[in-house]
Amino acid sequence: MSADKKTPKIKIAKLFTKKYGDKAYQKKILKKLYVPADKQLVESLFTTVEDPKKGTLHTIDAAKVTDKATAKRLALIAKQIKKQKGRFNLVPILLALAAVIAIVLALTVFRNVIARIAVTSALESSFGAKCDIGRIDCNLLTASFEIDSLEIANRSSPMKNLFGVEKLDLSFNLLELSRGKLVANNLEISGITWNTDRKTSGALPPRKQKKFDKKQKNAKPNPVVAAIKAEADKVKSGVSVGAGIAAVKDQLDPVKYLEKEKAALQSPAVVEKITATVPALADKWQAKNKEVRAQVDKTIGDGKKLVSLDVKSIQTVQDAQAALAEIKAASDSVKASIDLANATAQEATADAKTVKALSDEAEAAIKADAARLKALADTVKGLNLDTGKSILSDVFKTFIVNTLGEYYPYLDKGVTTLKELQANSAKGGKKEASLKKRANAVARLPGRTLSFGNDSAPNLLLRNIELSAKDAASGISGGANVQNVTNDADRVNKPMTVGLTLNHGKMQETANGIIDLRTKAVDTLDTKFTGSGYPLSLDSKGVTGVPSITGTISAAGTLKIARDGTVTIGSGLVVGDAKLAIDSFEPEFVYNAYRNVLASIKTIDLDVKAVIDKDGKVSIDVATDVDKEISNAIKAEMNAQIERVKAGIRKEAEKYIAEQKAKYATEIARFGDAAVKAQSALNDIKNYQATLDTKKAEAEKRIKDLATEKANEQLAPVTDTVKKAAPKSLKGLLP
Amino acid sequence: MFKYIRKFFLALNANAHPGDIAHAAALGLLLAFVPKANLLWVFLFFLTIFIRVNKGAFFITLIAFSFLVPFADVATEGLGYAILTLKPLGGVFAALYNTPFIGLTRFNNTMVMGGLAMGIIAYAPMYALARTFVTWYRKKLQPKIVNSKFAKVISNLPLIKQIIQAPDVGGFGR
Repeated sequence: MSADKKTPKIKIAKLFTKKYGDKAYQKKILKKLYVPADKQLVESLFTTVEDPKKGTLHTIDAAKVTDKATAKRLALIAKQIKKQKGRFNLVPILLALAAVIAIVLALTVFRNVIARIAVTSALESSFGAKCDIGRIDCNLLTASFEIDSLEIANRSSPMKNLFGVEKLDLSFNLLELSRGKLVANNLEISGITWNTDRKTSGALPPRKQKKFDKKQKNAKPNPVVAAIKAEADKVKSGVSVGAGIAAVKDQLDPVKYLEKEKAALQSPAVVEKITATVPALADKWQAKNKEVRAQVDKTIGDGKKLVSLDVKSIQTVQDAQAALAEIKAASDSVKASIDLANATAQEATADAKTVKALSDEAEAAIKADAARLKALADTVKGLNLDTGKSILSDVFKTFIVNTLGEYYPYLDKGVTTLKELQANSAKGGKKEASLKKRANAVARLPGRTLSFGNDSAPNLLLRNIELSAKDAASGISGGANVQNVTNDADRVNKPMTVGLTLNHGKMQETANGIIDLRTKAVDTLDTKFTGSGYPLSLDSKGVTGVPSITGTISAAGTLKIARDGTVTIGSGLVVGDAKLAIDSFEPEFVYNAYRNVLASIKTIDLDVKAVIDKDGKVSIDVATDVDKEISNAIKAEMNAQIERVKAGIRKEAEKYIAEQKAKYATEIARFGDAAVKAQSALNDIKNYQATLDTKKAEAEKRIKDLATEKANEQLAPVTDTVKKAAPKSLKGLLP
Repeated sequence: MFKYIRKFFLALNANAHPGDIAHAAALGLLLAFVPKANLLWVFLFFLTIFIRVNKGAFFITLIAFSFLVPFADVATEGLGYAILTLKPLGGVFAALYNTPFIGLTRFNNTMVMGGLAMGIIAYAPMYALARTFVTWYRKKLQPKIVNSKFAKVISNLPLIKQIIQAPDVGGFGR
């Protein structure tokens, strides 16, 4: 008993204290022991007991469990055995089922809330303004998606809606949707409105706005749009007939004709030669003449007394002799002056010959030039008006480039979006080619997705889209039908078709075409379009000769986008009820003719061809018969002015010739005057010399006469004496 | 990760059914073969979660085989294509294909179908192999490891201690 008291009580796991029959022992204990050591332990501790009713039973021999460690190990083994249950864990399965049901219920109940959040978020992210939805219903059972009263605010004008949709009804294919594809047989969007008023601001909260702005900032600028803008600026700056009008003025200005001819005239060179040489000669001879004249005048002045001497009045021989001596002295002094005047006159004559040759040359040149200028007037047969003849084309080119610049980005965005969709779809196909290559990578292969049956569809297929718009406020009404919108045109093997009709006020647009994004398509887009009733107002902004145009424009043409991205627009444009006004300019008769022609134009027909190539190079050709009409009218009016122009040219020619003559004649005359003066001095001195010679002869004769008289007087009383003494006396008297 | 490793070693050294580990390993391989991001994988994953298998072994094999199966992708893809283009099964596949939401399983993808087939084919061998390994380990290796000096040294390492610190670890810690 004392030993029993000392032995601590060891608690053995209940599983092992139970009594088991042979089968139960095997099934519930031994077969559940997978660790051999554990099995060996349990077997060593079990023993058999006899039961009168049940026979041999297996149970643990408590006496063999002598320590707590063994008891603890048994407890652990019992716990592990108890854990061995069936393969399926029912409770978690039920919990999971409940969770799934809860999720499905939540999705059913909150499907519209979720759809509203998703649609609102997507649209606000795209347009950068608030999106309001009246009612939204996404029903998987009926495979339909409906939105009522959708409004997207205008980001730049938050109190206005960019557009609104009264009803959007999408019937989709549930089967395809379950395959992750959006396939809809019908999408109906009706009651589209624009620019309607909002009761609350459509601006996004600052946080969302910041996010949108960041997205916009990161957007890459479209190079083609930039090219079109550059082209618009270029065309704008080029639209001017100022240069053309200036050219017309030039053709009407006789002086301009002469200016053009001056290089071919002979007289300017000769006149220049004369003006370069003759004035110097004239100056030289004027100075020399002055000197000679002074000497001549002095000489003549000095001899004035002798010239006025009355020799006959001399009464004495002595006086006569004295007078003769004076005359001889004066005559000697005149010789020097005569030599000077003579030498000067001779030199002047030599220069005069040079000057005369120049004068003759100038006269010949003037004669030739006069003949040439007379012929020049006769050459004016008509007036040329090449510049400015495409004035209206240029004005409309500006208009078209501006219009392209405004609307091309939308077209480009639309086509790029569709192409990107196709590109994403095509990527899937391309991956097949790199199967083997990518098999070496850790990333899994995408595999091939096979389709079964005829219902195979691409990831996105909207077979029929009906759009209708009717806005009483703006007067916009219209509709559109778009078919086969898809992200895999090759699979659908049909082009997307677009039909559009829109009326707003007096304006109407139609467009019918295809968007073919199939791999082998030649043109990505091929559309015929018409538009009419657009009010047109093109302001010349005061540019000389450019008319301001108002009217109503209509267009009919085609728009094509080739596979390589080249955009070709060919269209006829008609401006009806056209009014073309122009500010006045010089020359007035051109302005009058121009204005009259413009006033007579009521319709402008234009042919437009715009090509934007794949590199963004823009080429726009605008042609109109009206330009030719204007040009012809102005030409006719200008040609009527030919005789006036001819007369003007003749008058200007005569004036020019007279001017040229005057230029050299003055100098020639100045030189001639100098030459004449030189000769005059010589003549004067020569005359003076002659006078002196006469006086000398008179004086000698007087002396003789006086001597004779005196002798006769003395001889009379003393004839004999004189007869005897006369020879001796005379010998002494006569020199 | 330690949790899974611990659970695996606990089960390996305890009286857990060898099938628990063997099934877990086979399911791990199956799910490794099947590409993710489809309803089939999700379904199989949750099925595994709700089946009483050793989750540690499951996740370890799933992660380990996920690195290996891409090297068999070409074969997997080829097998998937062969199955999906089997004429006798064409009707079945067409019926499945035209049943809403079945498409979300992407069974018609060659990699998904091939992965599923590879997983199923490899299931039994993997199960047998894993089970044989567990039995052999428990019978031969575990007693030697438990009684070896090396094991005692290793078991004293902090990382191993962390793994086997639980009192109910089979042969370890006794």
